[in-house]
Amino acid sequence: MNKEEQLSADTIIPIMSRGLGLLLAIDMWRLWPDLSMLFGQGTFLDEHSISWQQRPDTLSIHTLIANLPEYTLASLEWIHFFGLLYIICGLALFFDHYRSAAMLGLIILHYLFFIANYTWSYGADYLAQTGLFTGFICCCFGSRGLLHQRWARLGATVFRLQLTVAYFFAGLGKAIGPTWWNGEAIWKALQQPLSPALISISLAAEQFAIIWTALGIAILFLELGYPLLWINSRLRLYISTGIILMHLGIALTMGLVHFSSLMIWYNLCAWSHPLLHRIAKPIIKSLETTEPTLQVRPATADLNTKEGGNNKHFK
Amino acid sequence: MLRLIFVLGCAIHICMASAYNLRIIFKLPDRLPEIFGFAYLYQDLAGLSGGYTFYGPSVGMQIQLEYIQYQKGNATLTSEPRIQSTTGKLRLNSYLQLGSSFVDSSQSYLQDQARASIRSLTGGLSEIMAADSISCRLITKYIPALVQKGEPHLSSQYIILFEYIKN
Repeated sequence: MNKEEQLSADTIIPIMSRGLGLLLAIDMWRLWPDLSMLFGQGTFLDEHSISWQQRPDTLSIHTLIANLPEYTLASLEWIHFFGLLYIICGLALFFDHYRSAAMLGLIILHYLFFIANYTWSYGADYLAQTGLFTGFICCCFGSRGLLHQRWARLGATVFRLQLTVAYFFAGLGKAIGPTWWNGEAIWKALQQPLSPALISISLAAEQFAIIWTALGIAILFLELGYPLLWINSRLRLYISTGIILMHLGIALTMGLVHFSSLMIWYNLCAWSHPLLHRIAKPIIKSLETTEPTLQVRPATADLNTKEGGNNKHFK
Repeated sequence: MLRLIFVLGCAIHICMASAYNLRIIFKLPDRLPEIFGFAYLYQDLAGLSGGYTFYGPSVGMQIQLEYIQYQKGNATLTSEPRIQSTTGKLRLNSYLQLGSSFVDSSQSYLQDQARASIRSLTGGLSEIMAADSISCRLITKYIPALVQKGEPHLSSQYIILFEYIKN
């Protein structure tokens, strides 16, 4: 990997957070037409079914709205206010305005919407919460003036470690059964996507069993082999590209576009993939020029130099 | 000192994530002493509570919703008409996976919940759609297995897991 294309450690978390803010704002904007039905006054599941997926004494958006006075303004409800606040926080994070406040707002709202009550949640919501949490912790240390190079490096390491744990356990979970080794699982996943797929695979393609078996094993190796990303940069480029292609395939054939975008973005940022520098050049440039950097004038060997330093003792 | 606290916190976080996922993979009991109750809140805030074992060890069946509106010229709705967005439909589909409890004996405790949810969904729909009666079905697609070589080619067909009729 070209050294000029390596992100500095103190850029990884901020750039990951900015992209995450944009992705979450877009997803909430897409969910906007259904906010009232899923979370608001027009909810189509009864209270028992909703509260069943929530721990007792936990505050979620459902319980919060239930305790607010009923209020409607031109067909807008409380839930639209919280949805709008979520989008504003996401965009503020993306445009890097009030970073800490936006991050705090987004982490609380995301928790209330999708984590505290998991009726309408799926895997991507938990991974987004993890990204927000990591970003917020690092942002807290940064805003207290503690995130100098060492802290930033530590934050980036934690983020990479978190991804490694996620992929390794995803791989381990798949590897303990036979279906990912014989291609059954990937065939089944492609034939019954959770969301409408952009590319659908015909049932006639079952005759290419060797392809499905190879793909299943490749996914296992990529996920279980994720810790190898720490070893060297050449291996890092190949494995991270493989993981990105895997997520691209998931987006196209299983329709999980938000989940895939999120994971591709995490991988691009965590491992400073060359593709990141093609798609996010302006953001990287602005981050790397606005962040304060410690400048030390290089020492010169000649003590009699006329420039710099207090050399009157030598006269 | 602060650095030590941060590193220690990270170590606990990673251990917690690993332990949680190992518990899911090896189906260990989820019982924490009450004193560690705060650990649940931490897991939620850190996004660990979903686990990372997506589609493991195997891919389950995908459950779909189908409404049949019985009146003059019966109409069949293959998706929930009250949900418009793709992301909303994806979230509803994810919720409907609790319908797999009708074929998976290890999840039989979810069956009552699935029945109650379908009753609630159908009841709400009958209030806004004109029909003599509405039937709501939880269906899943039968996918022929790859290993069935030499057997006659089976086309995919839908299997009804649960049906509720609202008059």
